[in-house]
Amino acid sequence: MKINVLVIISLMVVMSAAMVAPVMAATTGTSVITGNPGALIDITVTGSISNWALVAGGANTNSTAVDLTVSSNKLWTVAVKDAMDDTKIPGTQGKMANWTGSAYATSGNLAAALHVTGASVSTKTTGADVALSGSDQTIETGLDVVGSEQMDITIGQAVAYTDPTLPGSNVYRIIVTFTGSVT
Amino acid sequence: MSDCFQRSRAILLAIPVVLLVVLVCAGPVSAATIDISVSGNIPHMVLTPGSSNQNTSVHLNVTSDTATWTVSVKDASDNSKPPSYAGRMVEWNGTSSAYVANPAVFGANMTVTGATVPGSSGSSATLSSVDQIIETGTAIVTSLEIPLTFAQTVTYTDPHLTVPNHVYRIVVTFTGAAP
Repeated sequence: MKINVLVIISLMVVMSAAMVAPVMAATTGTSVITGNPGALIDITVTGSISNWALVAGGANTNSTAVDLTVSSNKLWTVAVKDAMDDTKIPGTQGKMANWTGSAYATSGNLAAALHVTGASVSTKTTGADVALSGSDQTIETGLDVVGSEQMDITIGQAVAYTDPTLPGSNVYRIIVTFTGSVT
Repeated sequence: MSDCFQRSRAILLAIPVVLLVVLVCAGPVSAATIDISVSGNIPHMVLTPGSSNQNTSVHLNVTSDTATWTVSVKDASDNSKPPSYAGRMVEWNGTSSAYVANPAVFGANMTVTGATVPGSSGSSATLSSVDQIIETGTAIVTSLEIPLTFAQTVTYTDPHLTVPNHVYRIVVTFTGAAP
C-alpha cells in the first residue's frame, strides 16, 4: 500500500513537472543565396602635361605628371592609342600635331611618335613601352585582381632638330586614350 | 501508535488527491508556438564590385501565438562549408554541389536586415555562426509578412569566378523562437 502510494506520488510529481515546465517553441527556415560578380575593370588616368619643355636632340621624358589607377576583379590589361580626338590632322596617328589653341592646324607634327610606358608593380602588373599609334597597344598586363592599384606612366617624346618650332602661340598636342579590359 | 499509523496513512492518501486538485485547478500549460517560413532563395544575386549590393526579393512569414517572439539568423555552415568562413559567401561548385577546396571567399560578411512592421521590430545583423536577432515580436501574429534585405559588399579584390558553374554561395538559417 505504502509503495503504491509512493509510486502514484512520483508519477504525479513527474506529470506536474512536465506540465508546468517552460516550453520553448522554435522553427527554422533557410535561404540559399548565390551569385558571381560580373567581370569589371575601372581605370582612372590623372594628370596632363602642359607646356612641356621639349628639347630638340633629346628624348624628353616625363614620369611624374601622369598616373594610372586600376581596379579589376579579373585579370586585365590597359592599352593606349591616339584616338585622333578633336579632328586631329589625318596621318598624324601617335604623333604630336600642330594645335592653334582651339583646333588643329591643317598641317605640322613631330616626326617621332609619342612613347607611353607603363610601370611594373611586383605581383600586380607588368608594364611595357609602346610607340603610340592609332591602334590599342598594351602598356599594362595585370597579374592579379587589384583594388585602386596606382602605376606611374612615363611619357617620352623624341624631338629632332628637323622638328620645326611652331609659329605664334601654337603648340604640339596629342590626346592619349587609355582603355582597360578584363581578359 | 495506531493513531499515528492511521494519520500517516491518511496523509499519504491525501497527497495524490491534493496534487490532482492542484493540477486540475492550474490547468495544463500550453506551449507557445511559432512557425516561420522563408519565401525562397536568391539564385543570381546581382553583385557589383565597388558597392554594397542589396536584394529585397525574399521575405519572412511568421505566425506566433505569443507576442514575445524572435527570429534570429546565422550561417550554420551547411553543406560542409568551412566554419572559418561563417558569414561570408564562399566559392561553390555547382556541378559537384560542393564547396571548393581553397575557395575564393568574399572579404566582407553578409548583412541581413529584418524590416520593422506592425507586430514586429526589425534590426540588422552581420551574419556569423551565432544566432543574432533580426526580428522581435510585439504582438501575436498570423502569417505576418516581413521584408528582408540581404546586403553584400563586394570589392574589386573579390575575384570574378571564371570556372563554369562556380558561384559564391551562402545558406542563411532563420530560427524562430517563442518563450
